[in-house]
Amino acid sequence: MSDLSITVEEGESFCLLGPNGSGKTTTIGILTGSLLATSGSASVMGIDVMADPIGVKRKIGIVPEMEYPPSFLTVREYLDLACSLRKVEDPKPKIDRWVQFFGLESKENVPCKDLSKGTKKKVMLSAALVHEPKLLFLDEPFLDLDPIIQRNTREYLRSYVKEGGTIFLSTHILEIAEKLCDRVGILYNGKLIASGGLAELKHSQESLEDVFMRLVVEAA
Amino acid sequence: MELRPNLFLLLLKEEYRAQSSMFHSSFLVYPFFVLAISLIMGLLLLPMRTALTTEQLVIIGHVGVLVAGMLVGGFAMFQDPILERRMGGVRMLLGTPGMLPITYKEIFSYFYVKDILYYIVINVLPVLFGVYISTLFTGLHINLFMAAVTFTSAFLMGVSLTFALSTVMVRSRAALAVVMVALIAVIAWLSLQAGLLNALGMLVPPSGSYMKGSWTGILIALAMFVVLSAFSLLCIREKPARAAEKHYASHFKETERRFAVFGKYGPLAAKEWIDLVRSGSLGYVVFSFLIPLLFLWGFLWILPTALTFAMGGAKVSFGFNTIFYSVVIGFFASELYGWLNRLDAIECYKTLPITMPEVIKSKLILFMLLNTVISTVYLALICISRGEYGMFPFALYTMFMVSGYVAVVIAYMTGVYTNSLLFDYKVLLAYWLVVAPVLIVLILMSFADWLLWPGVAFATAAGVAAYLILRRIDLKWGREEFKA
Repeated sequence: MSDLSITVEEGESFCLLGPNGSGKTTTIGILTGSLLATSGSASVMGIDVMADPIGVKRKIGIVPEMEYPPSFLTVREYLDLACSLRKVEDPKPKIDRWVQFFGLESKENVPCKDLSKGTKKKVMLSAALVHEPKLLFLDEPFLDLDPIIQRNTREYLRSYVKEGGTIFLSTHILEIAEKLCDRVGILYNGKLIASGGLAELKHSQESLEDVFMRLVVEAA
Repeated sequence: MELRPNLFLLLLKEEYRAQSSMFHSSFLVYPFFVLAISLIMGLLLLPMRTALTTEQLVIIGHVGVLVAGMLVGGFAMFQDPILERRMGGVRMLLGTPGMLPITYKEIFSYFYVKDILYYIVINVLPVLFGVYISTLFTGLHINLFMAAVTFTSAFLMGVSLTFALSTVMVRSRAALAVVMVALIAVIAWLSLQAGLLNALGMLVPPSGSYMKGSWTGILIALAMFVVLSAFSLLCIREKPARAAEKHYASHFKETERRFAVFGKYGPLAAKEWIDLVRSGSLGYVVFSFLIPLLFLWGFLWILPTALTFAMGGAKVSFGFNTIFYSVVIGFFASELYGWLNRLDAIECYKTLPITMPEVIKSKLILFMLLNTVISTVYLALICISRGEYGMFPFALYTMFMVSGYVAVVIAYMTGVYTNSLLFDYKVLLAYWLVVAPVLIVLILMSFADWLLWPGVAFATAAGVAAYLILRRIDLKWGREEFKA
């Protein structure tokens, strides 16, 4: 990454787009305190990420692209663990809500190692949402989800932003970015080559796909 | 089946790169390590000859090589998802049948041949070289060609034996139990007839071939290797059978309450405990002391005679007290910490508000709990067997100090990557430099009863050092990211 400067306002949904290997996951890793930047600074909800990564993680929800919940805990046990580490008060109704939302009722006593990829993703989403964070970092959150859950999740995220929540999303699915986000940033080779509202970036009748292709080809 | 030399070459390259990456150092470190151990064992042959006959030494050597083969032969377990859990995002060529037009059985057959070749190069050859170099100092005669053939055939026999046993196990644990009982019965019956060592000699025919210079035992071993390998390869399933979905009542809250005494580490320690129980590793952990303790028993059986020889015939006997065992058990106990790091991948922790030192310390808490129960039982049994009841409190205290010290040193040096970082020669060397002096001093003190209280004081100093190192874990691992 170099010369990367991004500001996302409270109540905004921001989407990071870019070809494979452009640095989207690295950016999210740095902003969520999972990766240490070699230089520069990052602040999330007023907290310096480099100085207090745990403080940031306590406040936000994270859905990583690849990682899955612990193998030997059941779905409910993992959500209990997430609530316990985040010191969530009265966690049961909150856990119940997300178990129900993602249709995990029949799986809540199954160890996570025995779940399908899609179900594991639902567990990670539940763990990111269970403490009702004001800011979500979502790295390809719709991968492996079935169309019904994709749609329900998208609708929830839309209402979440309307109610003041903030989303920092990374995805390859341009349609989702178009439907869900107020602003997009396009990364190429670790550099932000464009950033702004969808209307700003589009020329006349262009779709987001056209914009993406044009900007990446120009940068290449 | 079409011949695919390119696939074989790719598998070899993959193995080389995986090993180099896993051990964070040169590929040559492991074979060099094996060579060094074989050299030491070869040098010990001279004094050992006073305790054992040449034939017994040949049997022990071949059984050792067979066991080395058995340790790497659990191939049927490769279809178990535990590998995926441990290796996280690492994917191997063995996983390609799902994507490319090749069957699992076919790629696995190449993989098996590759692994055997690879292990002969990094295990059997260094053993041979090590023993050969030792003969330059001891003057003992070793038929190097014959040893190469008999060691290799014993090794192949061991590999195929475990391969077959693991094949039976993945299909039926009950069938494995029957086979194991039958094997143990045969060994027991033969031992009663001819003694344990001779029985083992009969079961490892290449040892007889070495002694007599005949090829019969070698051919028997190779025939066993071919039959057992063919059986196992034919039994390989294209897709592992999906186990029935298990359901568990939620135990987390209850376990967390029990671990609440450990404050902020309680939730993670509770999670570690559930991992240990559900993964079925608790039994392995409890019995993991047995093999090293048996080894120690065998060592103590041979050592007095060997030392008597080394001292030019002056009678040497051991007058150590139970503190000796508490030091050794305390050292073995640190293996428990390694077990706790083998259970599951840790990457998902990056989404939770926890740090690496918290994870390390929660594992250390569980280690101390397990150690308190398991090591105390072993130590109590040793005290009872030696009739040294009065020593028990001192031995228990020393054991806790030593195990705490060794475990904290491992935790500090390797974090949660114990099973790969301990193969890094720099880490391994540093580990021995820090641990060995403490163990040696305490073991020497155990030979004189009047040094009991100084020994306790020294163990206390090790405990204090452990506390200071524990505090430095935050500094060393505080900014470490959770990765596979």
